[in-house]
This record gives sequence, structure tokens and C-alpha cells, in this order.
Amino acid sequence: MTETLIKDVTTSNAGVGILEEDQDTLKDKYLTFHIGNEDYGIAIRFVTEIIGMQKITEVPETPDYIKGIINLRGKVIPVMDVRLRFKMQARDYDERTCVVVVNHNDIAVGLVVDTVSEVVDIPIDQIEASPDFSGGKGGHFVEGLGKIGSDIKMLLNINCLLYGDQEILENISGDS
Amino acid sequence: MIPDSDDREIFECFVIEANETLDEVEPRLIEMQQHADDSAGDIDQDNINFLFRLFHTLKGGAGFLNLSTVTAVTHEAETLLDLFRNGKAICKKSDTDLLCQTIDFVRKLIETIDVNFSDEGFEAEGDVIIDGLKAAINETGQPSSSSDSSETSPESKTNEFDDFTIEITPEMVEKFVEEGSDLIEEAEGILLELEKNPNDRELISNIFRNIHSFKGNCGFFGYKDLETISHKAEEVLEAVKDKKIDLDQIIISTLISTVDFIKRGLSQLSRGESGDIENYSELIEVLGDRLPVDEDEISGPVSSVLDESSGGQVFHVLVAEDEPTQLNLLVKILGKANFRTSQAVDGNEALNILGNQDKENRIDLLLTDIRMPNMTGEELSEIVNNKYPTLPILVTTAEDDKELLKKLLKLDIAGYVDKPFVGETLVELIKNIIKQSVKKNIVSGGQILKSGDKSQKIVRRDIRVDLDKLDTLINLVGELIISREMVTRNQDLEGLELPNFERSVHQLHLITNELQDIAMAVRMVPLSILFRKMIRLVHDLSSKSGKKIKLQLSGEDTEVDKSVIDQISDPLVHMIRNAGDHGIETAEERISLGKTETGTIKLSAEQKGNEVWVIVQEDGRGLRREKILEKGIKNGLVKGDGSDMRDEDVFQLIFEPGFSTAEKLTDISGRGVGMDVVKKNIEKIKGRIVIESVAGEGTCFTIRIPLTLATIVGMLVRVGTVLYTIPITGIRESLRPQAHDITTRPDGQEFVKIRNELYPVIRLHRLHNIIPTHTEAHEGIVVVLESGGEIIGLFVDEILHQIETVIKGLSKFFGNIKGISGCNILGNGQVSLILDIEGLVHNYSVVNEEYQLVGT
Repeated sequence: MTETLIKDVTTSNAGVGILEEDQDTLKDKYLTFHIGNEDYGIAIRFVTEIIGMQKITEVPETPDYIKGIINLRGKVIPVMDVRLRFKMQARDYDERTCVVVVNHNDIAVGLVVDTVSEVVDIPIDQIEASPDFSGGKGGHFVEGLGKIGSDIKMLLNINCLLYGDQEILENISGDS
Repeated sequence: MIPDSDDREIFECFVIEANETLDEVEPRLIEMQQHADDSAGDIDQDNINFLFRLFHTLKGGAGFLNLSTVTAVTHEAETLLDLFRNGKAICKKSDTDLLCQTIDFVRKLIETIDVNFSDEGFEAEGDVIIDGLKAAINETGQPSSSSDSSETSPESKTNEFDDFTIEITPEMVEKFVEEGSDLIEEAEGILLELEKNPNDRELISNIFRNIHSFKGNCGFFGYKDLETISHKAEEVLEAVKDKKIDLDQIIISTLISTVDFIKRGLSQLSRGESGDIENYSELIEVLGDRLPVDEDEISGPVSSVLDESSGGQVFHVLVAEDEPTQLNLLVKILGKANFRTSQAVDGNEALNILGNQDKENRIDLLLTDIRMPNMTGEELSEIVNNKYPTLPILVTTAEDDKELLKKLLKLDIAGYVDKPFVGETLVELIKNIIKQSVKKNIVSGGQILKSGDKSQKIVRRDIRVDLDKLDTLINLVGELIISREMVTRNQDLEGLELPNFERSVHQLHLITNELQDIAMAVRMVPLSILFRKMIRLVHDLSSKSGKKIKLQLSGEDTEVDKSVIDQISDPLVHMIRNAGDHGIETAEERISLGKTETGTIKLSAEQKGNEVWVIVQEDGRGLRREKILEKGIKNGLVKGDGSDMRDEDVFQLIFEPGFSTAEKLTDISGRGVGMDVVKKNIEKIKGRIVIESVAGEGTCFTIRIPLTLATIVGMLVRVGTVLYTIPITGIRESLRPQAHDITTRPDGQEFVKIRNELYPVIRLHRLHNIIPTHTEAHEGIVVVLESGGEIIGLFVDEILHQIETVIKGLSKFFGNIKGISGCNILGNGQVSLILDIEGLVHNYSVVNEEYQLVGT
């Protein structure tokens, strides 16, 4: 009895170890993508997969940047056009357009981006706080600027992107 | 003290059963009280007997597990009930309350037991309850029963059970059979193991524990025969365990027969029969024979009645059987029935005896086993048939083998008997055969036993399944349905003539539909579980508030999904409490209003199409429109004076959060307390609440819940490039109107004339901002939707086809979207939105206003 107990404890400890390791490997990693001429990054731990463009079913009474819903292997998830979210000019989807599926608080959402580039390491000391944009397009979605050599990646705040600040929240709930 | 896993299981069983028992006790108790009130103290015998039995069962189970407080408390309650039962005392309201308290206390104990496996620490509280009960008992002039607590000693106990066996709830029996079968099957497995390793002490103590648990359960349920027989087996096993006797093959095979008998008892129970086993006394005797002591404790009460018909004539039966126990048993049975017997252990010996028979010792019948060493029963029968063509042969067999049966029937035998056999029937059969001395008695003889045997095969086999697994299964079935649609409506098939494929598809449809039905049915539970809990609630309400309230239940057997039960339990409690607290007036008030003194709350359920309606109706004061409106205007919920609002919309205001808490003292107030939560809970399961109320006459809340939360049959329609699914239940008809059928009001609202009635038309493309293929009414299709008596026409481009589909919720990301109840995945993988007919129809007036704005 005691023996098995001890065994149980050790195995579960091992489990925790692996989990921590996983977390470690995800740390500092960002998935970067292009929208327009700029590079953006989102923390890799939110990303579940990247898929090509799908047939989107529009949903009424939603903001324009919510393109609708898609069928992700039997699961129906909403799709947001990040371009429109940033109040940028709409652009026709092409074969390079991707849907980045992110999972935040157990809600999966697809993000439409122009192209996905790569997964990069950006250590925390290479990230600068985002200067306070005022009146800029979607500036408040950026939580930091990551530096890789001379490149700058704008690191997005996923919560803000999905739900926005209060004003956007109201927008969504008011529309629904 | 933490018991080992086996004992823990017993505790868990006890807790589950005790909780079920208590759930059953409560409503019965209150019904009994009501009956007593209605008929001047006359006791409803059915209920009191039932109650008595339930308490008794509880006591028995608790005693078995050494739960002293539970035993003591239930014992006193039982004593009190016994007084009522015998008419020695009249059941007063205070007594019922006391018993309710007792139930609550026992519930608390059971909860503790569930965690601690003991009821220690509640002695003081228990004493208070016991004192209360004793006081009630004394009040009736009867001596407290603590001294003669043996009143429910074996004799009276068994009588009790014999009288009331029928009244055990089927669920309890089911559980018992389920668990009993598990225990016994395991025991059987162990026995077979033991046959190989008779000295394995661990196996012996395992089987002992099994039989012991089973015996406990039997005692708990009061199945005397099963208890006696398992008790005897337990004794034998105990003796083996304590090395008083050796475990030999005879004991093992006797125990196997015992297990067979018990199984038969269980299968009888599962068929709703009594579970009494006939003619087990021989077995008991054989078992008893092996015991070192108290052998004659149970003397075989085998029916001497049997002799009467034999008319003094002594028949001589030759028994050929290789197994000593079976042989022993047969000889005993036949001996009891006044047969003379000769014994043979194999075919050769049997033939020898037959060869040696003379006038004095003429053999009247051969009873032979099929499986025997040297010579099988078949071979023996063949030889006997040739040599002694007049001798009837009866074959016993433990196998249920069709092939063997056919072979046997080809042989010229008088009949066959399945093991384990019922002694009495066997004797009857033998007598019949001998009397008629006709060889071909297979039909009558064989069938008597065969019919018994067949039903025996319908043993209820329940397994307990983890709910998660079940849900996964149901989800997978849902996915299967989607995939089926994907395959059968695959666009690659379009335009092809595939008759064979169509046939296979049809078959696939049948199978998957059935699969789906079953998967759905698995989770369905009757509402009665929930409804009967309300009895106690209303009772408490009534006694606390001093109002007289009667609860009427109907439609309790309506089945709903398990998750629905969980979800509506709280709302229902809330609504009933509100109905009692705020709806029903005090008795004086009622009388002054010319109403009956007693208020009535009707709780009913029925299935209406794809919905289940749970209706809470009371005949109280009703909702007051003006007061609610006033409050609504004050809270800013109503714009304007609200005079154009329909009653129903006004009443819906009570579901607004915190709507009436502020005015707790007025008539209508309190109605809103928690009502927002009620509504939220109901909406979670896609249900709605409809309120009807007439001031002064009462209020009726109808909770409408979809029957299944998972699938719908819908019509797929197209608007522009967008596809929608319209639930078929809301579609009245669809038509393509002529241009002159459309009338446009100056504000732009269109109406369609159908059979001289005008209905408003909603253009889905305008509602959802889609570019349609058709804009002219006569080019598209108008789907006529109905909900709650209101009718609208929905203008779409085209109707595609009917689909059956699994409902998927829109992502939580969206929250609720007006007019959309969910979405579904089509055969081609595309997603279509499911229209919320109720919402559409209900909101058409709102849309109307929007049109006005657009129009101007």
C-alpha cells in the first residue's frame, strides 16, 4: 500500500516536471505574421494550429471584423479578421492568407492574417514596453515591442485582441 | 477507521441505497399525513406499510454495518410507525414533522458515513431525536420499545417481508440484482479457480467475503430464501476458512449449485418476481451435511404434499449421475417425494442395474446426466432405448446447446431437465411420465421446464458507466450522423444514378437513426425523481407559513435528459417556493375571497412535440400587471407608459435581475427574487418560461425545454450565398406567393395573403444584410413560421432540402445573437446557422419598427 503510494507520488511528480518543461519550451516563443508591411507576434502558448483559408459562414449582428464561423473538424469556431480589427483597409484573401487558431480561456478563435512567417525566440530583455500610441490604429493591442537584431515585432495582447478594452467589449455585447 | 476496499464498497452501497430510501420515505410520509388529515386519522395502509418497511430496511442495513446511531434512530422511528400501523395511535402532524426531522438527521448521518465510514460523533444529536420519538411514542400510551426491541426478530421480520415484497421499488431491486449478480458471478469464478487450487487461502477468504456481502444485501432487502441459502453457504465457507472442514470437490460442486440457485433467484427478481426460491432445502441440507455442527438446524421442510398424488404407489427411479453432489441432491429430492432410487455413477453401472432388475425392483424411469465419463447420456439412452423400449428416460443437462438439444430430441427420450432444476417440478415431471408411461412426452415435459429456463436467460445486465464516457459516446454518435450526411450528400455524387448506393444509404440511415435514438435514450430519466422532492418542499412551506397548500403532481413519468433534470432542479424549487410564499394567500384571505381554504399548486409535465413542458400552476393571487409595470417604468426597464405592452411581456419583467427585491413587502414583490437566476438556468438548456396570470385567480409558469439538446430535423434554406437551417417543428408551410398576394403597408412592411389571412413578411436578407438572388416576393419562397400562436412569413431565396443535424452552439465568443439559436455542420463541411423561430416570430414587431426607420 505504502509502496504504491510512493510510486504514485513520484510518477505524478514526474508528470509535473514534464509539464513545467513544456511551459519552459513555450516561454519566450512567439509566432510572427505579417499584416500589411508590419510584423506582429503572439505568444506561442495561445496558438493551437494554423490552417488555410476556409469557407466562412457569416454571422449577423456581429462587428465587421468578425468574419463569421468556420468548421474546424466538427468544432465551430468564430473567425476574426485582424486587419479589420486594426481598422486597416480590407484586402482580398489569397492563397497565403492564413487562419491562426488561438485558444484563450478555453475559447477557440481563428485569426485571419496576411501571411504567417515563423516562430521566433524573443527573450524578455529584448522586449520593450509599447510606447503609448494615441489615436493610432489599434495601438492598444500591442503590449510590447520585441527586437530581433534590427527587426521589430509588435507583440500582441491576445486578451485585448479578442475582447478589446471596455469600449470594444461594449461594442460586442451591444451588437449581440 | 477506514475499511478495506470490499467493505468500503458495502458502505458505498449502503449510502446509495439509504439515500434512495430516504428520497422515497419523504413523499410517502407526507402523503400518509395528508391521507390521515383527510380521513380523520385513518391511516393509509399502503403507505404506512411501505414506510415501515423502508425504515426497517434502513435499520437492518445500518445494523449490519455497525452504525449504532442510525440503527437507534431508525429503530425508534420504526416503533412509532408500528403504532400507527396497528392503529394504536393516530398520526398527528407533529409526528410527521418529527419523522421529517428524523429523516433529515439520518440524511446527515449518511453524509458523514459516506466520508468517514462511521456515524460516530452524532450520538448526542441522535439522543435528542430519539427522545423526541420516544416522547411521541409515550404520548400514545404505549411503552417505549427499547426493552422489547426484539419485536422485529426473525419471525416478525420475515412476515413483514413476505407481506410487502411487492412494495420494494423496482429501482432498488434492480440495484440489488445488479450488485448481487456481480458478487455471485465473482464467487462463481472463484469457485472454478478453487476447483484447481482447493488450498488457496486467499481465494477462500475472497469468496467468503463475497457470499458474506451478498448475504448482507439479501438481509438488507429481506429476501429470506436468498439470505438463508447464502447464509448456509457462508457457514460452510467459514468452516473451510477456519480449517474445520476440508474443501473437497463435493463441497465445491455443491457451492456451484448454490450459486446457480442464487442466480435463479436473482433472475426471478429482475423479472419482477418474488425472488423466493423453491426447493432449496435439499441444497441447504447437502450444505448442512458438510458442516461439522448444527447440521439439523434446518430440517428440510420439503413438501410432503407431493406424496399425496402418488397414491401410495412407490416408483423406482434409476439415477445415473457422475457428480456426487448432484447425485446426492437428486436422490434426496426423489427420496423426499417418496420415490425409491437406485444410483449409478456412470453408464455402465446404470446398464448393470437395469440388467439386474426383477419384478420386485422394476425400474420405472431412468434419470441420466448427459456428461458422464465412459459413456455419455446420449449413448446410454440409445442402448437403453434398444434394450428396454418401454423404459422412459429423462435427461438432465446443464448445457444450453441447441445442437445437443436437437440430438436429444431425435433420441427417443421422455424429456429433459435443465440444471439447476426445481425439485418440485422435477418430481411432478417424473410422476407424469411414469403415470402416462408414454415415451414421447417431450412436448409437455420438456416445455414446462424449458419455458422456465428461457425466461431465466433474461437476466438483467446493468453496468454502471462513467457519465463522461457516455457523453463521449453520444458525441461520437452525433459526429457519426454528421459524417453520414457528409457521405450520403457528398457533392461528388450529384447527378449520379446509383440505385445500389441508395439502398445501402437507406440501410445506413436506419441503423444510424436507431443508434442515435438509443444513445439519446440512455441519458433519459423520468421527472418523477425531481417532482417527488417537491412534496417535502411544499409540506415545509405549508407548515412554515401556516398556509394550507396542496401539491398535485402529474406526468411524472415524462422523461427528459439527465442534464435537464440537473438544470431545472434549482429553478423548480425556486418557483414552487415562490408559488407557495407569494402566490397562495393565507387561509383566511382565501376564504374571504370566496376561494377554497386550501391553495393548490399543480406541478405537471408533458411532452409537446420536440419539447417538454413543465408547468407550475397555483390558484393564488396572480400577478398584478399595473404593479409590475409601475416598477418597470421606475427601473427604466419600460419606456413610455407601457400601456401597449402585452401582458406576457410585462410578466417577463419579473425575470429581470433584482426586479422586485426592493419592494419586498408588497403583493407582487419577492416574485423577482432569484427569478433572474431561474431564467438563466432555463436558458442554459435552451428552454423558455412562459407566464400566464390572471389577477386574483392564480399564475401559471410553463417551462418549455427542448426534448433533446442534441439534434433537430430542419429545412435547409438559402439566401444569397448563405445557408440557414429552420427547425421543422416551427414551419407551417412554404409557398411562392403571387405578386398580388403581397401587400405593402405605407411604412414598407409587407404582408402576404394566405387563404384570406394577412401575415407579416420578414425578409431574411434584409435582417442579416445579405445580397439575395431574388428581391421580388413572387420569385423567392415564403416560409410560414409559427410560434406561440403567432405567424409570420420568412422570405428566402430557395428551399434546398430537409436535413437532420446535430445542433452546435455558437461559440461563447458571440454570446447570444438575436434570431439565431445555434449552428450546424452540413454534409459538405460548411456551417449553417439555425434560426430561432421563437425569437424571430416574437421580435417581428421590433423589426417592424426598424423598417419604419428604414422606410422613412
